[in-house]
Amino acid sequence: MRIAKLAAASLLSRKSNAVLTLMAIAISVMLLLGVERVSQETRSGFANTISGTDLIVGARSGSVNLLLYSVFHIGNPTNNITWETYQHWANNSQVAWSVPIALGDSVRGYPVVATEPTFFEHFRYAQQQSLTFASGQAFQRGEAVVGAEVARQLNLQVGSDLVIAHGTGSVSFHEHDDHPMHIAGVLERTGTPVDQAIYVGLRDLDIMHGGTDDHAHDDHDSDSHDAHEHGEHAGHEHDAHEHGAHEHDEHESHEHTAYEHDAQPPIPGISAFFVGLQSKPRAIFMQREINTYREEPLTAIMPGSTLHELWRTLSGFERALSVVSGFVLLAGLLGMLATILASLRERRREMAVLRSIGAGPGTIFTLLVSETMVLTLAGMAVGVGLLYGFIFTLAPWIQSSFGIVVELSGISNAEWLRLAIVFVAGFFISLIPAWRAYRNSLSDGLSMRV
Amino acid sequence: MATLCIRGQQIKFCWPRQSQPTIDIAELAIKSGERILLRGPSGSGKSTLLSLLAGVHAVQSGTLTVLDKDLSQLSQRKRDKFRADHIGYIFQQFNLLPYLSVIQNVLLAIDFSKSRGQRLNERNTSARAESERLLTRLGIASELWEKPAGNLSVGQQQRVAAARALIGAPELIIADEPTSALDTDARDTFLNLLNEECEQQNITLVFVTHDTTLSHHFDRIVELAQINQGTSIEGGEA
Repeated sequence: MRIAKLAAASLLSRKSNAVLTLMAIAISVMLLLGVERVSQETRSGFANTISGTDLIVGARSGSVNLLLYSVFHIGNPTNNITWETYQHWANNSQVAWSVPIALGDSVRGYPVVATEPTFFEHFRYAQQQSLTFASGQAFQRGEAVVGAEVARQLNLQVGSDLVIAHGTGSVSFHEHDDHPMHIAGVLERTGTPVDQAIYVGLRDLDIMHGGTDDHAHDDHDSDSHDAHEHGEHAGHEHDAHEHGAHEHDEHESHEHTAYEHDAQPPIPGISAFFVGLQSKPRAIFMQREINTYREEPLTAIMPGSTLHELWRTLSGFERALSVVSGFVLLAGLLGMLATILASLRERRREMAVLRSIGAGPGTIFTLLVSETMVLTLAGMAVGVGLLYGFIFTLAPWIQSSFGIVVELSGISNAEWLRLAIVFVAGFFISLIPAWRAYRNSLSDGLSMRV
Repeated sequence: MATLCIRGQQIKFCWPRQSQPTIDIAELAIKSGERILLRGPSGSGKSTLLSLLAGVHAVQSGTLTVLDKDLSQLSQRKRDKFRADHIGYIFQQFNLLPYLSVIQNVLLAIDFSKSRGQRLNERNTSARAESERLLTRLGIASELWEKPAGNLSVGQQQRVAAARALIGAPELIIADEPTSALDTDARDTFLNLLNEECEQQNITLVFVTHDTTLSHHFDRIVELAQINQGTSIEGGEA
């Protein structure tokens, strides 16, 4: 104990060196834990994002891409699926339920998902949890449902109005302000991308994009639309437009019909659809069947296995980050070693004094080990503090930018393990100056070689 | 025998990588309570002899008995403990840990030795009280006690070092030219105070110097050159 006190006092006397060394350790510890923390949260966030959906079907594209845009609202659909194709599969005898989604619009950077009200019934996340409403209910015509985070950030309640913007950027030059949406419901927080999304009816999306004429304004004519990227836009495919006026007339006449009315498509094309099967083991056959559909090139994925695939892709990245942070730690420890070794030279007098009052070489050894360990432990403590500070300040940003919820939870086992590694590495590093001082004190004895 | 504090017979010590022993003393006897001036020119093996007496190094042949303990029979660890308990050591300079306060520097000697603390207990005094007494006695004003030792002048530092050597009444004090950095006045004051304390507590004092003008402070002068047959090629006095 008294040795630890002496070590601390000695360190304090070399405050600036000690603080710099400590900060190097702290930053490397923070990085080491931060990488672990973020990948842990990402992993569980990913795994919890969707469950209970057997297949996700989109236009022909990579499976990870389909998963990313349909579930995480990251990236854009490569192409749309026609409503007829959707109907074909929705009516398949194996299909228990299906929910179409159409993407491409946003509200202040938050993605708008056009879907059917049955979405709220069938969508499951985490352990088969369904979506619940914090207030209000599912949308009807002209209404929207917002995720918890959207409601909080944009300060929306049931009854507020919402103007949807064309495109997915956070700054939009084209707002569908002629067609403001009424908020019908606010969802309970889920910790998934659902929190970040706005849900509207397919029909409303189509109307916003001039699918019918009932609210058409000048700024919605086809010229202004050509200026936008149509390819990424679900509700407003070129083909649909070029089908001619009579189809639009049909839309018009049915604009107030219920969604269940299969005969009339609420929207010409959708981005993807979620499928629940009668029998889950059939998923792989169904997937094959959809992938080989001749009428339209489609891709069907099983969300679980694609999540896995996605995670495998990311885990290489995660490992690389871990290796880099490991090297940062090594650099921090070597910095500490260099500082302490350098200090030994000017502290030979101090060692001689300690020996003169009865400290053995063993005591000198312990003193040096304690000094290094005091630095290491303090560095670890500060590092953990920095980590929590960063999580606390950056968590909202991480959530809104990446949809990853980083919680202010305690230190996990994996993190304890990493801390233990730092501790052990610090201990081994400490043996080097301790051994050097031990040897010096043996040979110097009481003489003060400076 | 009991009255002998230090007794050396045929002691030899040779530094590694040197062919000739630095210390080769046939007979060395210092009585308990005696105050000895050990004199020798630079490079006469003074520092080596002191580190043998203090038990930092062990003689390679012969016997060196300090306070009835044959140091060569003790392990390194036991010699370190022996030094902590029974020997006070004062260097020429830089005796103090500059980052500790004056009083902490004095108390450090108690931290390293239980028996010094016990001796104070037997005298019904605490370590703190005794260090304050010694510091006052040696002329260190109380407002300096909590100051970092590095802030003191060299003369003051040497007196604090004396207080640390004296605390808990060790039987032997070894002083390695503690006054060489002091001016004549400070030197005499320092020596008088050290002598008085040693006398009061019946402490044996081995005082090393090459300054002949200090002889009158001591009971006896030992000329190292006369007793040491070793060839001394120590790199100067540190």
